[in-house]
Amino acid sequence: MMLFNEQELRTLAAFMDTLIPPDEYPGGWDDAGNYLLNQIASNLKDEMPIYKEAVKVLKIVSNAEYQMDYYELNEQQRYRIIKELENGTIASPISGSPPAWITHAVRHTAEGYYANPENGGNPETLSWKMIGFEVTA
Amino acid sequence: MIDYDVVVVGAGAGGGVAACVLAEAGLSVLLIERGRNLSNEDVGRDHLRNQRISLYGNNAGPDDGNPRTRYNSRGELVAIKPWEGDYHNNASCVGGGTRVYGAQAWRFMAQDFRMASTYGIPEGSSLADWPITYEDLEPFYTQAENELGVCGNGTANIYQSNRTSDYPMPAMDPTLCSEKLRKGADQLGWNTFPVPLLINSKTYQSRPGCVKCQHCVGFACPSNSKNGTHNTVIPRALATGLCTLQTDSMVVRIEVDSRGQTNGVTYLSNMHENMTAVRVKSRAVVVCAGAIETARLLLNSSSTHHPNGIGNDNDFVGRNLQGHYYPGSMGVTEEPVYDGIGPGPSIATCQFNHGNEGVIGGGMLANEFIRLPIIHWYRAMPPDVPRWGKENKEWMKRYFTRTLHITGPVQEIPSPEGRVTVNTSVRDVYGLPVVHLSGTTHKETVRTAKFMWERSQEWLKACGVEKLWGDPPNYLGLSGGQHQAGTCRMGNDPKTSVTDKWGRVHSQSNLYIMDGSVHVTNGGFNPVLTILALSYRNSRALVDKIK
Ligand SMILES: Cc1cc2nc3c(=O)[nH]c(=O)nc-3n(C[C@H](O)[C@H](O)[C@H](O)COP(=O)(O)OP(=O)(O)OC[C@H]3O[C@@H](n4cnc5c(N)ncnc54)[C@H](O)[C@@H]3O)c2cc1C
Repeated sequence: MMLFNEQELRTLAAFMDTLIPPDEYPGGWDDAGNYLLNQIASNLKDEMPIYKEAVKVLKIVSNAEYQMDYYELNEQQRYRIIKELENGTIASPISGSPPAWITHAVRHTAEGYYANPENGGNPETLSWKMIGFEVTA
Repeated sequence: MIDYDVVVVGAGAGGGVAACVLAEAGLSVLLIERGRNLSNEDVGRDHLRNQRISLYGNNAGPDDGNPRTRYNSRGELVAIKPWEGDYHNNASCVGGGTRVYGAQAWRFMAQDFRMASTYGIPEGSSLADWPITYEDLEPFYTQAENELGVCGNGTANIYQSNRTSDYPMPAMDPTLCSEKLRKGADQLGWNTFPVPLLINSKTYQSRPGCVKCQHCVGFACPSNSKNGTHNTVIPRALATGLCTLQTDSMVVRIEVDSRGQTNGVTYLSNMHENMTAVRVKSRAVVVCAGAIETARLLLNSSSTHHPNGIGNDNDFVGRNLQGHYYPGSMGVTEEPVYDGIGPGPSIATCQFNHGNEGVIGGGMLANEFIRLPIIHWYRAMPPDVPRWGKENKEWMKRYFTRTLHITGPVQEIPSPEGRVTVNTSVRDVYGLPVVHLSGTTHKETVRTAKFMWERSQEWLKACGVEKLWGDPPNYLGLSGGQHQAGTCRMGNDPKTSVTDKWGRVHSQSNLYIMDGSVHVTNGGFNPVLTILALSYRNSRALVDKIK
């Protein structure tokens, strides 16, 4: 079963990369995207609607602000939209609460990014290498 | 006809010791545990589902199907799952909490047994003295330290009460973090010492020394060097041939005879598809189900003789629930303080357990266990660092290895309103009324916690941290969790206690409680060594009585 269509997935990827931006280490999507999709299909089934809401809002807002889809924006533009949805400077174009879905997405992205790889994210324990957490036994 | 001399309910800290003492004395014992006998693989290393951070499940029980209830802030009754914080879980498996604990091995101090005489009784609290003294328990602290295995430095803590012997193993080596903290404490003139641990610092009783891994607290030990009851006293009990371990089995009732005296239990075995009820007759029953579940079992064991539950003639079972308030502070340093050497707690002070101007009691302060990366992200970031974006990632990169965390258990002032009752409208998978949690400890607890929080700030400041944070304690919550205690307190007066000073339920000649429930107060220390010592003392007395 496809949880998100192609466009939605690209938006979700751009959103997660805004929450944890790629640098010499992976961004949120590459490192935690798989975790999030697994989770939405299992433990976090109930959260599907908030992710649907998130990608919908991001599409509407980025088109209104920049006449582009969210995933087409540059890093600063993506950051600005999330920041302003979070602090209320940009109101949600549909019913719902952006601070709520942002909070959830922030947590889930971090869980995938920093938890053990068996949960579906953090391939090759890259985030652990990044911060200096080594498993010795 | 009896089936066993003694039935022990719960194979955790207290129950493991009781089974061993009783079986080695030649008594036949049935040790019943509702959880499983977990292998290390069963416990695993899931960073999102363990006894330290349980976002989507736990790794040492209980499973789903065992809810508890409470009222939320809107006054609605809510059912809580075992991995949610409001559940106040410890663990449910062979070894109980000791299967995955952090193994800090603290003795209480002499004053901890005499809190009411030392400080007076604040209005509305149920603060009381224990019916026994530190001196009564001292030989059994020694026995617990020797038989399970504790490492530490027996002379370095200048505030400890009298010890008759040193720890059986030397303390673990200092860490980068403890060295940094020691320098700060030295400047303040505070006495510090290595944290005593129920961990082998060298080979002991044929099991190897600690490999200093990063998954200690909340997980199973990869080298079998962490000493719980599952790898010490329970195997000893089984080796006698006199103890039978019945796992996956929930004791649902303490049974009584026609005079209302305990004569065994009924348990439901979960091992087969259909649960089967088994009635066991015994000369004595020792309940060691942990402070919350022990109270529940007593309350659920009502009968014509005991309409309000067994041992509950004076409405005392389930009251005075307490754990520990844990104030603390964090700070970051210029140089790394993380060397990856587990388990983590490596320096402590007892400078402020007692004798603090204007507050009741106090607590021990120590550095923290190694934090898993996701725990660091959730719980160890300063409030002014954004929760997402580049700055968040940069903070994780730089400061995971540069964060100091000082915290410690504050002795709580009990209140009869902090309470376990049973909720007959909600049932678990066994069909039993579940635990309902309500109330809080007494408000004096917050004042003491605030005082201890100030000390944690002072310590980190003395270490020259670049940035210092941590919220001052300002709320009074229900307490319990991993340090749950107090729900069947011991005492001399049956009107204000559930058991006598040997753990015997006042109205019963042969029903005993030997777990955290009987603690009158819970010290400013992690409680397990006291639970183990009391179980040594009281099960020895039970042997003398029935042998
Ligand atoms: C992650 C973690 C870290 C900890 N770290 C420390 C530490 O560093 N130092 C310290 O002092 N303490 C620590 N603790 C707390 C310590 O484990 C507890 O204080 C201790 O285990 C309590 O002992 P107990 O005998 O009261 O109950 P438990 O050890 O909880 O044992 C009770 C047992 O009874 C079983 N049971 C309950 N009801 C029934 C029933 N009706 N029928 C059959 N069986 C039943 C339960 O499944 C359980 O196994 C930690 C705990 C955890 C989980």
